[in-house]
Amino acid sequence: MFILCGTTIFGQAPLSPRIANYNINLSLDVDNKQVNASQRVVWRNIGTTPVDELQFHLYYNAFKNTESTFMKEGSLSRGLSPDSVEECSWGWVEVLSFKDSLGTELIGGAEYIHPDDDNEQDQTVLRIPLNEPVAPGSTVAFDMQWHSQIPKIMPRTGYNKDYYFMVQWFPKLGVYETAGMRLATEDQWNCHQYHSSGEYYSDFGNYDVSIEVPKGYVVGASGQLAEKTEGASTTTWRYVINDVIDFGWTTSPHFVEALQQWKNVEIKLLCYADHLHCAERYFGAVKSALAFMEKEIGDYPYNTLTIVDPPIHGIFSGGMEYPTFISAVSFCSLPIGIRTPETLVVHEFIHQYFMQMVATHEVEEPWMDEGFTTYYEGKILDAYLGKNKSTIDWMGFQIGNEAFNRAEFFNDDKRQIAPSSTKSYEYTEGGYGTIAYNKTALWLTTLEGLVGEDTMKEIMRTYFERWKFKHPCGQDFIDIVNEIVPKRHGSKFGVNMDWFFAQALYRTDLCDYAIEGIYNQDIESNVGYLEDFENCTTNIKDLGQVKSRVVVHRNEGMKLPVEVAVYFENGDVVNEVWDGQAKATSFIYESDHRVVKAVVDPNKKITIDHNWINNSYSLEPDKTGLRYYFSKIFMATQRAIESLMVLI
Amino acid sequence: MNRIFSIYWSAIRLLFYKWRAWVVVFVANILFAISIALPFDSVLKEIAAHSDAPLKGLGQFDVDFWVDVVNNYGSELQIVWGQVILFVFLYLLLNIFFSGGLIEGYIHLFKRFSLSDFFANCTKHFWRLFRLALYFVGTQIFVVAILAYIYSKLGMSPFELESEGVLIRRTRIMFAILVVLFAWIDVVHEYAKVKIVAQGKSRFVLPSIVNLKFFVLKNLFSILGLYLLCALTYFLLTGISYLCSDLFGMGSTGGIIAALLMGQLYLFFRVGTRLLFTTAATDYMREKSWGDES
Repeated sequence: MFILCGTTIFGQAPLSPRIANYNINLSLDVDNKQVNASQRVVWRNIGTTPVDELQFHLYYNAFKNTESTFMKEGSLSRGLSPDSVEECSWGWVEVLSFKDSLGTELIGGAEYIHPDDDNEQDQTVLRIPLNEPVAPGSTVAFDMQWHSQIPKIMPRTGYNKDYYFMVQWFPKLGVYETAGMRLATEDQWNCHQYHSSGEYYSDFGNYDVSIEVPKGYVVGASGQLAEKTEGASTTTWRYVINDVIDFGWTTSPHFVEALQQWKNVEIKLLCYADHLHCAERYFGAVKSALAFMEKEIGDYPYNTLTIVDPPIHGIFSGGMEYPTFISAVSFCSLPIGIRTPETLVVHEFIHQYFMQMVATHEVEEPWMDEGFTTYYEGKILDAYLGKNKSTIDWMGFQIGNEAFNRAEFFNDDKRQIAPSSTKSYEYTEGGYGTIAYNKTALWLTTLEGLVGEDTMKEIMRTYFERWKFKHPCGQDFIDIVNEIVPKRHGSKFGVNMDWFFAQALYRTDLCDYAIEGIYNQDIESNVGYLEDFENCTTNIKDLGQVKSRVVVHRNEGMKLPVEVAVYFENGDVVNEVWDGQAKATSFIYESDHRVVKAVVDPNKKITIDHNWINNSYSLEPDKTGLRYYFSKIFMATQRAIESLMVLI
Repeated sequence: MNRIFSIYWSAIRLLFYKWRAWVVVFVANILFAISIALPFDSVLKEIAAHSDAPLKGLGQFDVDFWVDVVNNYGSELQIVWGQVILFVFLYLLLNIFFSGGLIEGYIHLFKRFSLSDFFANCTKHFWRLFRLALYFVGTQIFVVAILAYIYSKLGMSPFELESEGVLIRRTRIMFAILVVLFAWIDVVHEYAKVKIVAQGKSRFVLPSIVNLKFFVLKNLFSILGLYLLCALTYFLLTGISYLCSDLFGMGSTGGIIAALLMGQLYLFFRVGTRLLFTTAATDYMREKSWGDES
C-alpha cells in the first residue's frame, strides 16, 4: 500500500502527519447523474485512548431534501430552482458497505448524528461503531462501497448540463482531536454537520483517486495526473496527491485546457472555449500570488495548481478552493478593468496556505480562513495591479482592493451583528461575509499598522512555519503575536496584545478617532494685585506667545493607541502618541507660533477607523478639494439633466 | 440627399440666428444644475470644510472619501436627494414650457427675439405640449415594458444557458431595437411639437400625433437622414469633448476653473445640438407647409 509506506510514490518525504488516507475508484454515470464508488480509508489513531467509532461527513446529504440543516439555514432559494424541484434534482450519498480489515460488515450499526443541532432529518454526519477499537498509534484500513446522486448545481458542487464540479463529494472522515489540540479538552471527534456557510476541516492524508468517465470528457482534479487508461467507451483518469486535507475534481466534454509553468508548478486552466480569452489574466494573477506568498510566507510545496473557470450554467461552483484545485469566475466580454477573475483566482489560491496547509477550522473559526485570505488578497492585488485600481479600473472609476474591502465592511448594516470570533453557522441573521472576511482583513491591516510591516511579516511567517500541516486555533495565532510583538517592541504595547484581540476579534465595537478642534490664544501678561495688596497691575501686555490646544476625540468603543501630527504655522511638525483610552484628550503648546493643523493617525495605519474625514482639521484649509467636488457634481448634474431631455 | 443637407445647414443657421433662445435654455440648465449642486456642496462643506480628505480625491475617484460620507453623513444626503428629485422634475416641466416659445420663435423666422414674446408663447402652448409629453413618456414606458416582457420570456435563467454569450447577444439586439424605437418615438414627438405649435389653436393633440405618424412614414428617408445628421453632430461634439477631457488637470484651482469653462462650452453646444433637432424639424415642416403637404 502506497499510503503505508514511509515515503510517497514520488519518493517525497512526508510534509504532513498523513492521518486520513484515501484510495477511491469511482465511475461517473452521466445518464443518471450518479457516482458509484469503492473507497479504501486508512486511518491512524493519534490519540492516547482506543477509538471505538468513526465519524464521516456525508456532505451530499445536505442536498437530499428541504429538511437538511444546510437547506434550512440557507433557505431553498439558495439551492434548487423551482424547475429543478419539479425535476427532483436533489443530491444524496449512501454508504452501502463498510468493512473492517477482517472483512466484517459494520454498516448495519451505523447511524446519522447531529452534533450541531437537534435536526434529526439531517444526514450529513454518519457514525459507525467499530467491532474492534483502534488502539492509540495504530493504523487501520476500511473498505467502503457507496453511491451518490449528484445534485443539480448547488452552491459549491453539483452538475448542470454536462458540466460537473465534484467537491465535498465522498464520505470523508472528521478530525479526531486529541486533548489539548485546538479547543479539545479530551480526545474526541470533531465532525460538524454541513452548514450553509463554512465547510473545511479535515485531516491531512494522501489521495489516490481513479475517475472513470465517458470517452471525450476531460477531467481536472486535485493533484497530478498519474495515469490515463482508455476503455471501450470510457476513460479512467487517475489523480494522486499527498499531504492534503481534501480532494476535488471536475469534468466536462467541453473543457479546453491551457497550461503554464511557474518554477516547478504546472498551472492548468480548464474552461469553456468562450472564456479562454481570460487565460492570461488568470495566469498572470496566480503567478504574482505564487511569487508573493513564497516570498512573504513560505513555499508552495505542490507541483500542480488547477484553475476551473465554470460555464455560466455552473456559476454556483465558481470561487471555491480545494487542495491544488480552485475555481474562479469570468464572463464573455468582461472588460479588462473589472478584475473579477484576478480577484477570485488570487483569493482562492491564498486558501492553499490558509485553510489547506495551515488547516484551520472554517466552521468554528472562519476568520482564520477567510479573513487571512482577504488580508493577503488585498496585498497581492494592490501590488500586482496598482493600489488604487486593483478591483475596478473602468470608465473613470478606480477602486483598489483594500479600499473595496473597507467599503464592503462599512457599507453593511450588519457589520456589528457579531464579533469576528463567531462560528460560521452562528451567523443566523447574516453578516458572515462582512465580518469573517472584511472585518478580519481590516483589523489585520490595523494590527500591521500598529506593530509595523516587518513585525507583521515575522508574525505571519512564524505562524505559517509553526502551524503548516497542523490544525491551529485562534489562540495559537494570538500566542504568536504575543510572542513576536514584545520581542520586537518591548513593552510599547503592554505585556501582550490581548487587549487588541479582545476588541478586534471578540467584540463588535467600531473605531473612530477625530480631531475635534484647534484653539489658539495669545498669551498676555498677568494683571491684578500681583505683588502686594496695594498696587494693582492693569496694563495687559501681549507676551508674543501663543497657547494652542489640540483636542482629539474617540467617538466609538474601540480603544487603540494613535499618533497625532500637529502642524505649526512656521512649518514645524510635532508628532504625539495618545493611548486612545479616554473619550477625549488635549495636546497643549505654548510657543511663538500658532497650531494650524492636526491629523490623527496621519499615515492611516488604523484602517478599521470608520471615518477618515474627521481625522484631520485645518484652521486654514485648502479648499481645492471641495472646489473640485463642486465642479464635478455641478457638471455631472448639467449633463444628467440635459440627457433627461430625450424624454420630453 | 442635397435637400437634406440643405435643410440641415438651414437648421444650423436658424439655431445661430436665434441664439438668444439658445442662451435662455443654457442659462436654465446652469441655474438648475447649480440649484442641485449647491445643497451637495453645503453638505460637503459641513462635513469636510476643515478636513484634508477632499484633497485626496483630486483628479481621481476616492472611494474611501465617499464611503465615509455615505456611512457617516447619510442622513444629510437623504435630504439633498429629495431636493434633487424635485428639481429634476421642475427642470423637465420647464423645458416642456420652453418648447412652445422656442418653436414659435423658430417658426417666425424674421421676428426679433424678445423675452416677453418668448414667455408669452411658452405659456400659450404649455398645456398642449405638456399633454403631448405625457403621451410620449407613456409610449416610451409601454415600449420598455413590452421589450422587458419579451426579454424575460426568451429564457433568461443563466442556469439554462450554454453560454452567457447568448445572453449578451440577446441583450445587444434588444438594446438596438430599443434605440431604434426610441429614436422613432423621438422623431414623431419632435415633429408633433412643431405641428401643434404651428397649427396654433386646436385643443386636441392626439390627431396631430396620428397625422404626424403618417407624415413621418411618408417622408421617412428625408426625416431619418436629417435625424441622423443631427445625431451625428451630437456624437461628434461628445467625441471632441471626450478627447479634450484630459486637457486640464484638476489638481489646482486654476485647472478646475479651466475644466469648468471647457465643460460649459461643451454643455452650451450640447444644448445647441438638442435645439438643432427642433430647428431641423421646424425647417422641414416649413418646407412641407407644416405637415399639410405630404
